[in-house]
Amino acid sequence: MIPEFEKFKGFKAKSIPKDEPLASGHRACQGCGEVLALRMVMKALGRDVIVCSATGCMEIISSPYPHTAWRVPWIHIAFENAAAVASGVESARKVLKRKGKIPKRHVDIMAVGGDGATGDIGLQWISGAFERGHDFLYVCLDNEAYMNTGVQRSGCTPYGAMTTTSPPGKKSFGQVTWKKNIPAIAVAHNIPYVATASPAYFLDLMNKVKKAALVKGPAYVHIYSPCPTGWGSAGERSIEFAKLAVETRVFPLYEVIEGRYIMSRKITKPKPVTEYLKGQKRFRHLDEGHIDYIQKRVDVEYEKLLRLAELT
Amino acid sequence: MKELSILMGGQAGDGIRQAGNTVARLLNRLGYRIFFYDDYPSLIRGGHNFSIVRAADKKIRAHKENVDLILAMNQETVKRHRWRLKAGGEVIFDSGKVETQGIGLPFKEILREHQGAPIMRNTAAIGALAGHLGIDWEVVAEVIRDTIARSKETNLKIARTAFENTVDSGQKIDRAGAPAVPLLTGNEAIAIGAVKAGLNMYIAYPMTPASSILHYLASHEDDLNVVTIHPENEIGVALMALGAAYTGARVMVGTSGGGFALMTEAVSLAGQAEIPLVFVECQRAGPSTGVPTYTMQADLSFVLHSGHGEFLRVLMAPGDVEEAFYLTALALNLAWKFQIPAFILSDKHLSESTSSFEGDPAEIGPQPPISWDGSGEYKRYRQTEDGISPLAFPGTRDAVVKVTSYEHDEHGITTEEPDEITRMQGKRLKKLEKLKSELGRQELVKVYGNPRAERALICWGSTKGACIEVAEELDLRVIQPLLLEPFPMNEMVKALSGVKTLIDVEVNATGQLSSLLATKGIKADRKVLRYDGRPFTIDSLKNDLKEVL
Repeated sequence: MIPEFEKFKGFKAKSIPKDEPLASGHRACQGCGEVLALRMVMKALGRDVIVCSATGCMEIISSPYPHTAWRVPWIHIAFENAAAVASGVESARKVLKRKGKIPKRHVDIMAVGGDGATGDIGLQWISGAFERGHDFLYVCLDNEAYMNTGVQRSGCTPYGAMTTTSPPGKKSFGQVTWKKNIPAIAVAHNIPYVATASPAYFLDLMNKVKKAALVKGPAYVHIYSPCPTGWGSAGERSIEFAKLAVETRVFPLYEVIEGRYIMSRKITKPKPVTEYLKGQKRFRHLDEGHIDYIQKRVDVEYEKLLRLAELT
Repeated sequence: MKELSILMGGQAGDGIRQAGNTVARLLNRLGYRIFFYDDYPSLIRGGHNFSIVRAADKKIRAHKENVDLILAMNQETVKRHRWRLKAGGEVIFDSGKVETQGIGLPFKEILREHQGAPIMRNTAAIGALAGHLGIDWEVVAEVIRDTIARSKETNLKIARTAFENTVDSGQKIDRAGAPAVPLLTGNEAIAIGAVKAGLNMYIAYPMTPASSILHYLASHEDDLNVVTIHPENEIGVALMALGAAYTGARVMVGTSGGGFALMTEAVSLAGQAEIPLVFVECQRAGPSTGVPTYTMQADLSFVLHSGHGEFLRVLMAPGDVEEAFYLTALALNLAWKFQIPAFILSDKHLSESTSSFEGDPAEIGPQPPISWDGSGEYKRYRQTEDGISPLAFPGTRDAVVKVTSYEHDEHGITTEEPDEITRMQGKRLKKLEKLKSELGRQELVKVYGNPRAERALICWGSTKGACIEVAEELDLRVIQPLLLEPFPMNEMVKALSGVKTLIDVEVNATGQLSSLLATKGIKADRKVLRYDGRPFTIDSLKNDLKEVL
């Protein structure tokens, strides 16, 4: 058990912090599930945090004047560097504290990026930071493609999804690879805390982020972030899709604490994946064969997780 | 010159670029030559977008600040751009959203009448514009059918209603007489040029303003027989391309300055290992993330000197769609003939603006590289008279193809022997002579305006568009090097002959071309620089030149 967790009782719906470290008035799209998740992340962390933000939607919607939304120290860096810059921030604070140049109070350090910044271009630097064991949390807001540059595929784009660089047509059915499992890569680094979260389960999300901040050493939280613009889904249905992703087992919620898998929400009667796929333009070209494949693979992946939870 | 400029403005999501595209094609169909500038902020949603379509009865490569017509989808368009309206100009606007003087039509009601989606307001605007200009309905209908992909009939009905409800201004726009020609963005011209020269693979990571090369090639993979790959980052891109070229595929990569910074390891490797590779660098305003959707010509020095060590390279800067097409094809052919890295330096203004293309694609084709004939032992880096070692690829019978980033001998085996190091560096640099004679057959420095004028503007890349028209008006000469490395000294001296005053015109803050010229003993007398992320327009350049002429 992690000693830092002992005093943390979890957030309650009634006592969610009213403070908004990420202010409203930014310019995210209507129904953006990503900014909603980020707002919850920031509520969980409060204001004693330094945010290292990779290039991506959340940086673009929150930084141009007069739509600046950050009320905490914030550094925007290039696309792949969030984990490396956060490592520098953490090391510098450690050194400056040791030398007595800054007060010894604890400040959380968060690196945040999208699925492209995390799973594609920035993966190597995340691996380095996890290996070195910096005391920081990395939050990936996964909307499953490069949304701010024109919806290009990423390693986290799900099988079959249409993007501008995986267009379906006569010879293609969209994305040909299965979604890259970034949480598993994080787990493989033997860091103390890894979790998946969804804005549809906001208390669970906030608790996981808080735990990731409390734990000593690196922590990783992978957050599913619906994107009406890139997915071709209705803005008002974002939370519904986030919920369906969990209920169909497409995006399972779990924690891995010191290597032990714990299911946050066991889905014993899963809905068929079609319920999740329909209503999203990115999947509308898929035929029965593809949907059948997705269903089977989702079941297999979920079984694997259950077995990991049993074994560990 | 008969000409017409139209500005369309609105919010992101109003379909401004689409409307500009339709208007450009409408005027193209009437026989006009087009230049279409698209201005949009780096935001996912909202913000102010505008397009300026300029049409003329002769080739143009730039736009003007002032316009004859404004199509306003929102109030902000009127507020920001009314000053651009020429005397006698008109504003055509959505009367439900905009209050101003001019021709207002209730777009919302027109859409409701035909059950149109909100995005179709732009179709109503086009209908109104066509009505105002007295364009025949048949032409309008044909262009709408060709340019709008979905709900063609609804769009046609909406355009027709707007068309009929707009009073013909009586200033009927005549057919310019010329046949319609293809309209291409610079990036499309780059992509097609590469395909014509035998491109097999395009590898890229999305980055504005280079992404549309990837989009274009990805969506035409089957027709063009090109494979596109989008790997995890630009380091992956450039090194995957090295692997592909080593295996024998003609490959190109594309990015902007930030992505190119990551590729430079591969640039040097291509130089040492003699791997043919074409890099397209579409510049935007830096440093770093800078101003992502705006233009700049500030990466000339960077690309020119990219990669550590000394090696041969070709660097070309197209200034219009025809040059983008020809030079990209040439770059691919030269890279393979000489087994060197070649660079195409574009910028947002060239890459994303649309113009009439008047080149002849039939002139270009793939030139085969110098290949191993299968006789004797294969040596990848065989010493030859001109320095070019015949190529073979892994899998070729009886050839063991060894390639390395270390200094090496003829077999590709690592060496640290002083004599061998000297010999191999000499072999690689020796290729310059043949490269120069090959390049000598091309037009490397262009001259426009009055070729005998004593006052000359010197420019590179997309800046030529504004320079040419200003020079024609002010009786100046324009000199534009297409090739920047190896520097075309003889051609440049010829182009400069008789020039008394040389004015350097660039879209950057330090005058990087003038710095390059200085190293060749050519001194620019004055510099006219713009570095606010916007390209020179004809008016802005004329204005800036007043101070130096």
